[in-house]
This record gives sequence, C-alpha cells and structure tokens, in this order.
Amino acid sequence: MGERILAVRGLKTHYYIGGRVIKAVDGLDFDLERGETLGIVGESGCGKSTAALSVMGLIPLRAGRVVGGQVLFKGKSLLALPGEEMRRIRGSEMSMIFQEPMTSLNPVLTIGRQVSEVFMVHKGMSRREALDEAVKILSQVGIPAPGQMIREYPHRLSGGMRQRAMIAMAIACGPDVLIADEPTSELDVTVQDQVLRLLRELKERIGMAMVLITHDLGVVAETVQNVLVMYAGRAVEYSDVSGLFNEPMHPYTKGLIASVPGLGKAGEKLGGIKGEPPSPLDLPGGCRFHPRCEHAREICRIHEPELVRVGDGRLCACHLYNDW
Amino acid sequence: MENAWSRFLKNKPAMAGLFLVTVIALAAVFAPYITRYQPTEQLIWTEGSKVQLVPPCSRFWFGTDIYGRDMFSRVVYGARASLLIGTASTAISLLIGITLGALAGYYGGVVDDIISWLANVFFAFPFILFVLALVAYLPPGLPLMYAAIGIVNWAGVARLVRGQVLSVREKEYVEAAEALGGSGARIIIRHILPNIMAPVLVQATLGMGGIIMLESSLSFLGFGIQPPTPSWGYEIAQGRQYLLTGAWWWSAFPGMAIMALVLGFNLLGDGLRDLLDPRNDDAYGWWGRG
Repeated sequence: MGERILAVRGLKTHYYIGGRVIKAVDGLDFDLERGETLGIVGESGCGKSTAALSVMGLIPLRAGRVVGGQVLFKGKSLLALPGEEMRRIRGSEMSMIFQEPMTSLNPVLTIGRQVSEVFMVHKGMSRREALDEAVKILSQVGIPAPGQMIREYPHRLSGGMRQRAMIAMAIACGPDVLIADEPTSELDVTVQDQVLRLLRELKERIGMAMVLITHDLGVVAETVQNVLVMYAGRAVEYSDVSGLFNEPMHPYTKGLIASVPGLGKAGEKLGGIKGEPPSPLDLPGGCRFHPRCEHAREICRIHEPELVRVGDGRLCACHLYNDW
Repeated sequence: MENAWSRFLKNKPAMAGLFLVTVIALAAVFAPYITRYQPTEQLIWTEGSKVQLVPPCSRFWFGTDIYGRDMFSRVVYGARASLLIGTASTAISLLIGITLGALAGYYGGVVDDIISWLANVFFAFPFILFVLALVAYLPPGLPLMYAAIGIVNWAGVARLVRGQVLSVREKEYVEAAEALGGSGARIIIRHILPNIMAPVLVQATLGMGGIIMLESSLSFLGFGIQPPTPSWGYEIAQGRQYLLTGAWWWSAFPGMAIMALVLGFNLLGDGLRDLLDPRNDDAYGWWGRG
C-alpha cells in the first residue's frame, strides 16, 4: 500500500432548501493514495459533485454545509481548518477542475491574467514573472502558441482549449490531488480522448493523485485504477477497475454496466435499472437501492447494509453480495 | 468593440446627449477663454452707471443681472459647479455603493441583511430633506455638498450592485476561482466587478442628471453653492422675481443650461444602456428608441 494522502470518513453534506433537508452526501467513505487515480461514478444527483465540493471546502454557505464526517488530507483535518489556511491549500496542494469549460473561465479577463493569477496568489510572484510562468504551463498542457494565447479572451478558444487552460490553472502549482469533476462531459468525443490523455500524462509527470468524477463508464475503464460507485449519497461498491467490470458485485453496479452499450456481449439486449434514483428529500429506509433492486429481500427494507470488505481489497454495501 | 462603437455612433439620441454633455463640459473647462468678463465682475458703463438688467445683445449674449454681471459668464462658470458636484458626488456614491453592494451580494447572510436594511432606510428617507438637514447643521461648503449628495445616492448603486453580484457569483468561473484559492476580496475585485461594470456605468450616467438637479434645487433654496460663486440654481432663484417684469433672461438661461445638461446625461445614459444591453442587436429598434 502506498501512502494515503486523502481519507474521507462518514462525510455528510446536506443542503437546505425551503426548510427541507436534502441529504446530497450521507455517509461517504473513501481513501486516496499518493499517485492513485480514483474514479467516482454514479447517476446524476447521486452526490458525486457535492462530495468533491465538500472535500475542497467549497459548499456555498447559503445553500448547505458539511454536517458530519472527516476529510483528512496529509493527516490534516480539512473541515477543521480555518478558512484562510484552506484557501492556501486550494489551488496549490489540492485543485479542482469543472465540467463546463465554457463557463469556468471569466469572460472579461484574458487567459494570461487568469492563469497567471494562480502564481500570484500562491507563489507571490509579480505579474511579469507570473505571466512568464503562465506561458510555460500553457505549453505544458498542449496549447499551441501560448505566447499569443495569453492575450486572448476565453470566447476565442474552443472548448478543448478552454479545458486545457483550466487544467493548466489547476496543475500550475503541482498539486498532490486533482479533483476532476466531469472534465470531459461537455467536449466532443475526439477532444475528450485528448484531454483524458493529457490528464494521465500530467498525473504521471507531476506524480499527483487524481479523483475523476464521471457518469461515463467508458472514461472510467480507460483512465482509472480504482472505482467508487455512489448511489443516493453513499458508496455502494469500491473495486479495482478490472474487477468492477469483470465481476461487479453490487446489483446497482451490475445494472450500470449492463446499461452501457458495447460493454456487455454483442447482440444482447441492453440492460438497465428499473425506476428512478430516489429523491434525496425522501430516501427509502433500509438499503437505498432496494425499491429498484430485483433481488431485494425483507432485510434490505429494514437494515441499511454497511460497506464491508469482500476480498481483494474490494468493498461492497449489499446484504446479499454473495447470495444472489 | 468596433461594432459596439459604430452602433453607438448610429444612435442619434445618444449622440445628441454626448454632444450636449461634451459641449457643456468643454465650456466649463475653458470658461476663461470663452467668456469676456469675470463671472463676479460688476460691470460699469463708461459714464459711470451700472450695467443693470441689459437684455441679451451682441455684447452680453445672455444679458446682465441687476448687479451688472454678465449672465453668459455666470452660466458658463456655473457649469463648473454643477459638473464638479455631479462627478464628485457620483464618485462618492459609487465608492460606497459598489463596496457595500458587493459585500452584501457576495457574502450574503447577516452582512447582506444589515446592508440591505441600511439601504432601505436611505430609500425611505426624503431625498432633499436629508441633504437639507445635513447642510443646515454643518457649515455649507463644496466638500459637504459632495459628501451629502453622494451619501444620499449610494443606496441605489448598492442595490444594483448587490443584485448583479448575486447573479455573477453563481457562475462557474467564480467557483473555479474559489477552487484555485482566490480570496474573497480578490474574487470580488478581479472576477466579479469587471463583469458587472456595464449596468453600473449606465446607472452612474443616468444618476448624474438627478444629482445635478439636486444640486440646483439646493442652490435654489440657498443651501447649496454660496454666492458669489455662480451656480445655476441660485441664478434661477435670484432672477425669479424679475421674470414677470420683463427681465426673463436672468432665470431663463441658467434654467435652459440645467435642462440641457440633465437631458444630455439622460440621453447618454439611455444610449449606453441600449448599447450595453446584450438583448439588443441591430435588428431590434436601434433607430426608433430613446
């Protein structure tokens, strides 16, 4: 086992809307080792992004807050850190990139100003030094003619170039952990591939660990080492990537894999999962998946299954994982 | 920007506004070069009598007042007072309004509650009464005028800025800037404010007209610029009693000057609003508006 760099324990993040509580993340555990790539998959609304924002300390105060659990980064408890110290970690030791490259860059500032800002904030460089660094980092992420690019405004760049610029900002200070929240979902398929390759390359070069959040199992299959499957705010399965695809344990994971064209056997009818994910306002008792699970039994309606070790470093939260 | 600028050039009302404001501003700056007499100079005919209430003529374009002063000089120099107070007060109201509005919009919660409550108090207060009260208790003077009018106007700016910040702060690029470790002040100043300057600029331009009216009203009531410094409102008040006896020029020219300057700022502000409103494009009523 490598050195554990990030540990999330029992994380609970709730949003408050109109007096009602939305349990977006409700008891999430996972570990990340130095240099590891972890995929977090799940349907829309399962709490993937909320988990990432919670780890970064970016849950907007007006909307909700982290109500329980711990986030340990290099042994420090992030949730207990004062805002100013957390701010210094964000963008230098731990970075995040977002889904929409179209809107993640400020439309009224040039690329150069935005990228150089990271160096000014975290390394205390002067504007001129920071601009020089910005040119270097832009060329590292494969942006052609970075010397000219720093004078351009974001609307002049293609989606792929913008995402590269975002990645440049995120890795500028050589972070230990990069959280990528659906980094390729909005890009063309060919560009997706380039961006994923770039992320893999940078990961190797910088030696950072990466959390890749996605709903695209294809992206997971070709990019990550380990996968965490989330359902309704909790982890339901954790496995290395080949184990997950070859021998999924949780019925939800099985359903997910069966619903991807091309991953099952050819000619087979596409599988799927009945019903809808539960509303986070009104989670079912017992196992959260039981209303949609065809193997559900009495115990599933009553007791919530724990995430337990099921051999080979794999974890699964199902009463029946070896029984159905 | 070439496109936006050429659209602005085609907007006739806005160009008229720009023309009025520019001409008056230039007149104010170059007042000594375009007037024949000092504004406070009491002119005397060569035979020794005062040059009282002379109607407009080739020598005194706007006539003279009862003290023998050239009204053209007084109107031209009066523009200085109006523009000075207009810009200084606008600057003060922008400074206070942008700061408080941005804090309220960005931080929300109690900060927002307090600032919004304060703004509402200022909204509820009768405009002129507030300034009158201030000016009546403190010794009159230009800095006091700037401050008083600026303080009265900050609430409108703050409300506008707060709303704009609320909408911009939810944008992904603000979240991204936070994720990269930007501090609150840095994000407000570098990422949010540049995105909301357009409506603020429009409001400031439109507000100039109101502030100039307010200054004129105060001077009319005798609480503004103190004589003998020329001020349009004061001239109107002085000339008022001679209006019906035939010396109309004493009040009429300062009145027209106020109208021209306020109209200029309003047309300019409307034009800027049309120009900066993303919903407007060339297909949509550039000619008929204003």
